[in-house]
Amino acid sequence: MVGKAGLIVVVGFSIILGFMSLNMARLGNKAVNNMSSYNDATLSHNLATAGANIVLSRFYADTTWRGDTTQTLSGQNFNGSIRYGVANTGTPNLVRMQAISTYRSPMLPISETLHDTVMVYLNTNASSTFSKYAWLTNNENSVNWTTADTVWGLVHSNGTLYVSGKPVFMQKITTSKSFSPAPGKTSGGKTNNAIFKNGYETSVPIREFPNNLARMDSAATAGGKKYNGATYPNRWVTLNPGTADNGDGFVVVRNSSFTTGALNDTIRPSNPAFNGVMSSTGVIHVKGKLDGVLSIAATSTTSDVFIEDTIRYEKNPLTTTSDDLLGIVADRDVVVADNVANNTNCSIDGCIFTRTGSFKAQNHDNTSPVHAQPLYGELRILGSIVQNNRGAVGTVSGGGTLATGFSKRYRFDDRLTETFKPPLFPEYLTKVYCITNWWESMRVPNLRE
Amino acid sequence: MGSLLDIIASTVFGGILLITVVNASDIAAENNSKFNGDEVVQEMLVSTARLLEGEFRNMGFGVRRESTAVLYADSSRISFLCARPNSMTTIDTIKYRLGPTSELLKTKNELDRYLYRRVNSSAELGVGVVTLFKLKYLNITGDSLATPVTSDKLSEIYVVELNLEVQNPAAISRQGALVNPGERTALYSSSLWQQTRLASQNYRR
Repeated sequence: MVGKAGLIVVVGFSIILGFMSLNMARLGNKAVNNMSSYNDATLSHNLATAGANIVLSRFYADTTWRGDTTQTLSGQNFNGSIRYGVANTGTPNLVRMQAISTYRSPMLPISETLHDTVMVYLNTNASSTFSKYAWLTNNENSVNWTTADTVWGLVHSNGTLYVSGKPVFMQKITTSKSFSPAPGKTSGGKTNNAIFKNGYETSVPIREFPNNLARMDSAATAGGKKYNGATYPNRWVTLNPGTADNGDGFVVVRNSSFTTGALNDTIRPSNPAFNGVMSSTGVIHVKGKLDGVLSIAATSTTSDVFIEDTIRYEKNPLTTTSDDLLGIVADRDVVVADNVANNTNCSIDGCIFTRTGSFKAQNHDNTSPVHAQPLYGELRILGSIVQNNRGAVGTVSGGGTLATGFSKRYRFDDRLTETFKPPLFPEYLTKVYCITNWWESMRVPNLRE
Repeated sequence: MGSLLDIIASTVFGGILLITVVNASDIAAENNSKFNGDEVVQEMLVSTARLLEGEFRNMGFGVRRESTAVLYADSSRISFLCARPNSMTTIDTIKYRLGPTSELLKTKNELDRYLYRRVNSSAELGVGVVTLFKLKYLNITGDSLATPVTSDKLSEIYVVELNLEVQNPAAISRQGALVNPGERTALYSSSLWQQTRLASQNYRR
């Protein structure tokens, strides 16, 4: 009887242990499945990302392509298909690319197929305004950005960017070539320790300068004010804010000086019949305080704009809401004149553009004439500076101290965007559609729904 | 006499068999518990890792390039902006933070804590139980940013390194003789996950 009882006990325990072994084996399988399911999810995601890159590549080859297509891949690791395509969204100038992967792991039951999605949004704006850049040049003229420099706003050069020391770039900086030396490297006795607050990118497409300023000229003719430089080689433009009220400013144009020359025009920027553009094929001299929105352009290939004194907005955008905006455009140079008014600081609120020349200070090296006081103070810019060749506004001694001319205080006007810009300000064509947003699907329930 | 011997022998052999079987059962139960614990840890880690990976990849989606997507960045706490995929005009603020160990005193594991997630001003949700949630931030040149990242350096964040560890809330006791000074008195199944280069594509626009 004891033997029978013992036998029953043994059989009973065997059955129990059998179930426990079965459970352990199942747990072991589940543990392996966890690892392989994570691996499969990763592969599915990688497939979708590969699809996004494929569709981007195809779209950049033909930016008119719209539609979708399916591509099947087979291999040891990329076993599945990708459906990818491009479609217009409801928003103007915005297209969406989508890549959806279909992945079936050899380990999964046939009913389990994984899908992942990557969506990429691109801005298709054909043209972009130069004024959205705080600083842009075709040629930096081997001038270094140094430790004392801090730049707010986008910075770009179509040439090489030279850095020595630790300048700070608060927004993204781009170059169509490269840095000299490369970030973090030392070359030719210089070290590039620049701080890129929002990153950098090299070898980007060139922002091509326009071949002429005919667009502004035409606008000035059609609904603005155009002056003939052959009649009067110089025009003197005084910006007058009017009263403290907004929108009652006016612009006085004379043909020989600010005060004694014959009056050519009194222009009200707020006049609905005025499109905001005034141009001359001669030289323009400008100063004053602006109430309104205005672009001033010297459009002939030999014409410059001279800043004869401080130019300010009636309402300072740094301290209050302001709708004042000025564009200062020259086919050749924009020059800060060497005169008494400018030799003790000069402030300029506005977006500066020089098509073939530079933004520079006249007599920046104090050689002609030689002033007793070689330092002209600070050159304070609130706006943007776009120039063909980087111009000089001062010189520095071997120790990096200002020797002559102006020290720089350049500040980007944060209001400037693709849509808030001076009237008919020069633009460049965007040849490459830029990615504005990138979204990848998640393999968990959407906790925000 | 013979019967007595039979009984004694049966008892002895039966007893030995019983003890062996009980011992085997005990070992099987212990292993079962360990395997179960490992499996629980794995599943917890995989689900938490997938959530974090998926959301961190979409940091900055819908946010203008000129704006900063990361609002706060610390070694165990982060707050960032991300739009909803079906409505890019609605930008949500998503926050992750690690709770204190005192909130999970009822578990045997003294190191585990909740990982909380909050969207905008809604109630916090515990989305995982972890023992380690550590974030490291790198700029575009690969240099590590000191935490908490100061507001002027938030825009420099280019890559996030994420370390996650999950342990079994339930313990497996250790034999006292095997416990060295300073060591924990129990064993916990543990699994570590690390994503060394989690970069949102929205930072490369």
